[in-house]
Amino acid sequence: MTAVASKAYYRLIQPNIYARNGLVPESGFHARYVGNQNTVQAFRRKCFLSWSQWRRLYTDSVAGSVARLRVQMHTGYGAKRLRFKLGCGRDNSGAGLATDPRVSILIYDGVTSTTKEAHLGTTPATATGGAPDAPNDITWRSLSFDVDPATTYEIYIATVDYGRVLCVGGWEEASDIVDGSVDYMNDEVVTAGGIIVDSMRARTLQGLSQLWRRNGSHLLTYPGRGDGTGITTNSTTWKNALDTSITTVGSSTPGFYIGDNGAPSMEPWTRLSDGKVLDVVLAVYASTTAGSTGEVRLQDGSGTRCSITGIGSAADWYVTNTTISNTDTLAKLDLQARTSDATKTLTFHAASLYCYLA
Amino acid sequence: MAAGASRKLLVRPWYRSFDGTSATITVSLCQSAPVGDSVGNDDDTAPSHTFPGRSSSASWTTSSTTWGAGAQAELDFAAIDPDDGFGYVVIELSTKAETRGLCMCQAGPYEQ
Repeated sequence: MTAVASKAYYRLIQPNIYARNGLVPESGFHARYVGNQNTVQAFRRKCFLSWSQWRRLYTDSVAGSVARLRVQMHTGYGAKRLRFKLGCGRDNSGAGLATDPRVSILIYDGVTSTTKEAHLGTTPATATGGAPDAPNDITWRSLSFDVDPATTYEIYIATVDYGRVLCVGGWEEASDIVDGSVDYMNDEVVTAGGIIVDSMRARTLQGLSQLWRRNGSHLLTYPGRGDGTGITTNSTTWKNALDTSITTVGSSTPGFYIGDNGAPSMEPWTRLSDGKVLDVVLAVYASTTAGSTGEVRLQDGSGTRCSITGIGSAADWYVTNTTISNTDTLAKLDLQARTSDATKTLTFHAASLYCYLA
Repeated sequence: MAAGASRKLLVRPWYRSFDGTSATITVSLCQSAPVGDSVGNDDDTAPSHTFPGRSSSASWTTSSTTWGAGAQAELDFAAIDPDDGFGYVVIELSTKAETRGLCMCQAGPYEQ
């Protein structure tokens, strides 16, 4: 019989029972932490995209294919699929031109690209100048892609033939099959009084280490404005990348909370031995005019938390493996950008931040 | 989740009043997508949509025209379908409210 990971949260591991000095690990302890690890592997997966159009763009429907959103993410061990849930609107061009409105998603692992389309099957809105986008006008579609674990993916979401995407969520899924030979799942074979052999302990500890490195949270996604255009700046001083009229970080400047001075704290995301330093990847989709370089950073009230330099003239993902220090004091993070030459233009499209240790 | 366990979705909206009068934003975690044939009315009457099934909501009100984050609120994951773990986050605005979405949307820890 195939064993399946329990969807219910497993049982607490009481330190007074199992982990005091002098206590010898026994089968009950092993069963609990193995069961917990299997549950985490099967069901606690990354969400890497949660986006909605916060304003009604009545000129949103256009002919042809328009790249709307971009994300970069890293699949954890055990990942089998990326799944997307799309909320799509009707053709609101007012001209009633759509014949096959759809949303296209492309994923790329650095070698192979895969594209799928969600055909909306909707009729153009009759209202001139804009669809109402009432709940009953929204078409919900799902797309999923088979993926490899521990792999970095670029994701591109486009609209085709007057298709409109109003909101989209993206997350990874894993198998709940407990196969102790793959994905750092652990066979639940120990019974009361059974022997915990070295290979069991080795696999569990190796798995914990690898899950730490690759299955950490996806922390932040700014997938773009949603209309296909980037945000531009000619400034050699830092500007808020979401609103380039802003140069400082303040409580009213647009940004992101991934921690808030300890409520919640990002410190539990770090190992005790790391001293509150979190290993992350910052990825930015941007470009600059040839002859200049661009920079993007995440800044809060206490300073720069992480940054990326060397953005060149090719519109592409620029990626850096970096760290965030003092994770217990993270406040609202603002994305800021600048260019090295005030006569050149930096075009910023998207940014992703995720936990990762090679 | 096991009996007695709970988990919360931590949310903070990024919002303001665009004319200095009272503005309210409501964020809901819902089992199903909302249904209805209207997104609301300019005279601030109740929107003609409903949430089938379970939901968990929090509201914030301000008269400030300065952008800012609402205080952190917790939405109960018990509102969504426990079998597939899928739900919808819905943002509703009163007539005077303006938003750029959620500046925080995090799944909190399991609690027993």
